Amino acid sequence: MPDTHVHRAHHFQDLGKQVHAERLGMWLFLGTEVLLFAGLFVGYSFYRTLYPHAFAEASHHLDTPFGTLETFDLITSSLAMALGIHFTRTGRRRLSVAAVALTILMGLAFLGMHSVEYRHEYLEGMLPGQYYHFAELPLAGASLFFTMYFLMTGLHSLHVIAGVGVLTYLCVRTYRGAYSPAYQTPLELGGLYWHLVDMIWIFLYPLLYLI
Amino acid sequence: MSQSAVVSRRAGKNYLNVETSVKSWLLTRDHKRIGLMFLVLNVGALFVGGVFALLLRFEHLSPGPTIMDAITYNRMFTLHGVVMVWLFMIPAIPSAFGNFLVPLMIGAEDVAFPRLNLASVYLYVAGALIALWGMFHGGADTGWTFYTPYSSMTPTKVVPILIGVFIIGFSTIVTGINFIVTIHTLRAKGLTWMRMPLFVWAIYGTSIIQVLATPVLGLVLLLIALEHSLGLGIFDAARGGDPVLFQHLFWFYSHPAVYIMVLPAMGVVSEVIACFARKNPFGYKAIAYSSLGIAFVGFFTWGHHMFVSGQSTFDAGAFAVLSMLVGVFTAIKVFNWVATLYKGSIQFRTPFAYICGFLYFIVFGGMTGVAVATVSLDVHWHDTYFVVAHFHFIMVGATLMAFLAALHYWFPKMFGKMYNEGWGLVSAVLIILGFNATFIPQFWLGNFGMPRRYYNYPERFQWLHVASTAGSTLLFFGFMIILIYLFIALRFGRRAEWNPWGSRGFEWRTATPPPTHNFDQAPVFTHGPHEYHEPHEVDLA
Amino acid sequence: MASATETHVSSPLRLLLVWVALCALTVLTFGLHHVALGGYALPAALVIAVVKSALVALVFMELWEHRGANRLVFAVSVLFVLLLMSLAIADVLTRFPLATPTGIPTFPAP
Repeated sequence: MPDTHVHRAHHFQDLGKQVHAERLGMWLFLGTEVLLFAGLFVGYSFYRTLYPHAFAEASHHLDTPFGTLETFDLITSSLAMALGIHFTRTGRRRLSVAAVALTILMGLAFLGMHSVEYRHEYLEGMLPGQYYHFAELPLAGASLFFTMYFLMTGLHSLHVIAGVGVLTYLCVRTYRGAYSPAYQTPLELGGLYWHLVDMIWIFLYPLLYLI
Repeated sequence: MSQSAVVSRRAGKNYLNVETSVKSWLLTRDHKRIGLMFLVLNVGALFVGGVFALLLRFEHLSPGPTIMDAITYNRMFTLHGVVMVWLFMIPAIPSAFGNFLVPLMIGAEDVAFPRLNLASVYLYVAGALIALWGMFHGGADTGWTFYTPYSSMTPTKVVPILIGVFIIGFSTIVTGINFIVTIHTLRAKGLTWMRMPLFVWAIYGTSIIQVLATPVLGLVLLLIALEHSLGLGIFDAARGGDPVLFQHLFWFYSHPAVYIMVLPAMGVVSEVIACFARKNPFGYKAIAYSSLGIAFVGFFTWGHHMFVSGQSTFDAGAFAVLSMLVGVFTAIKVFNWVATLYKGSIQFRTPFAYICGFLYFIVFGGMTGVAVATVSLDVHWHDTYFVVAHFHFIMVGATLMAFLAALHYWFPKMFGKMYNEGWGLVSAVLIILGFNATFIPQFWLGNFGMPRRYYNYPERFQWLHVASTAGSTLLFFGFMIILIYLFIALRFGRRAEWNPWGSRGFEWRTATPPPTHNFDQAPVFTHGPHEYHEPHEVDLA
Repeated sequence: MASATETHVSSPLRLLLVWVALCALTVLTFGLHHVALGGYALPAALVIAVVKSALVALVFMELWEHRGANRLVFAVSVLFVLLLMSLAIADVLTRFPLATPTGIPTFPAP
């Protein structure tokens, strides 16, 4: 029998207020994540303005097919996540677990594809900063492009890893029946985080791969 | 029109003595205990940063080497800045007093996320320890602003300090998120936005800045750490990078950061003035909205730190104009405070003495801020002691005065003890005089051309440096006296009445010190804050 | 019980439709990359990315149903990113050319 115990913390007047508080807290946290990536987007725009040609050239050497696949992967994982929450809200626990598990798998697939990309770049010498030795493109702007590429996708991948961890925890909790149609806010919040990770990639993809 | 809030007068049990084991403190979720822990930690940081300052001043007693060599001097001003900015000024009023007071002021049992609140203490401690470790292993010599290219090349241990500050940044963000959600969702029945105490408005504005600005700092510190350890070259001109980009990212946080410092101080001022003038604040809405105004407009001005760094003149002009704009909101507050004092029934106590100091310092500090925001003048004053004096007027003269006012005003509330008022006034006078003696000579020094962060200086500046050092010694004595009589008050002081100031602030409606759950029953608010035109007192039960 | 927590049960069909739209827009942006748009390539890509993000935010993240405070938080965060970006880019666009890392003017001289 699933455990449908709902916990309202004593300092909240009612569950509705608590849920609103939890969501607001999460949105504020997501706001901080947006501002965190902002610095890198600003750096990117700054240098793309200065080195438009080098950036375009360097971008052509990225694995655009992989990048495109990764985009589809994350978009689909977001769908899976949204469905996972939907199923919990309609009391279909097993489907919910399956959907969240699918999200996690797609997240891992993203990381896998990205590792393949990184390996390729490592072998070619398209590395950040002082490690850059890609002979085909000796321009300063190209080196900066790859520095920004590694910083932006690296920070993004770290967030994917964190997201996978959080979702795994939430998946287990869902399996154990911690969430129900009456209360599934933690799952919602995990979903919000995952969708943000997807949104950031939605911007990274055209800016890095499609110049 | 009486309040229906119930004040608990149960003798004995309050948040301090309900459980006294070490574990009950280390694992507490009580916002009051958390606020107290922050207070102790922050005062400790103030002491450490103050000792660094005193050492710097003693070094400047004579040109050339006096008590330390040049490299040590560089490390010392860096550490003074890092400790004072991140370990004291940013957390002091919000994390110590904000945590203690905001739930009390809005009739809540605790903040929205009490466990996160506890985490913010540990994040602060972890960050501080890592930064301190770096300090004791050579420390950084880049200045607290970590400018590239030097921060990428310095042989000193800059990375631990960067990591320590990065972690403290999380503490700040968590605090900010907690306060915003608390204010949105935990206000008791009847407490509309326009009935919130002005201190709560100030904390709300501060929390917005904390949430929006701190992540950018986190990123830029991370980038410097990577640049330093991996030679990434993002800001390295040799690799096509631009050092000015670092400054854009750094100051985008660091200018709003100074409003994180001063805005809560302004909240304290509103509370203390209303109480000690026994008068409703003159323009409640103006003061409340100007807190939001400062929070937002403070973000538009960061380039005024970069007038001579190489940014375009177009940007410089834009930032200069925007910087003038932010002064308007501070002016609105000052006029409203003065109007509150006018025809008030003034009780001259220690907290009020500090507020008098605050008003003088914020006006002069603020005006010199507008002066340095003028590009043509800043070309002369940038990186001189003129700027140093300007920001110390605001940070020490205004913010620290407000911190001391808060400490004295809410001392009975937090500890249930009363301090010696005579000594309070004496040390307030010493501190205000000492501060003037320390920093007014620095305006002259800067105007005459004495650069900041310079170890050596020409003979002709010596008399001003000596005057400044004499003032700093007076300041130091003032602080020591405060420490002594407050400690005596804690141990041997007489028990405070439940509302020694006769304040109409909402936090005074519950017991002194408050019980763990703040209120016996959820209070209901039927009128606004700071209301002194009513002759009644609050219900007691 | 659901009404106490204000959860709006989003139909799976709506989620699926949004997914299809997102995939279509991805195909579009990939396709446009192969078309020579010149100076319009970047704005086009950004517009598509913004539309995709809006779909994710409003439908997947249910911002459309959430309270105003949440929408304000997200909007303000984005606005401040634009603030930082605009003045930083304005700097590099309007600098005296020799003060830029490349020495090359980034903005056509009048």
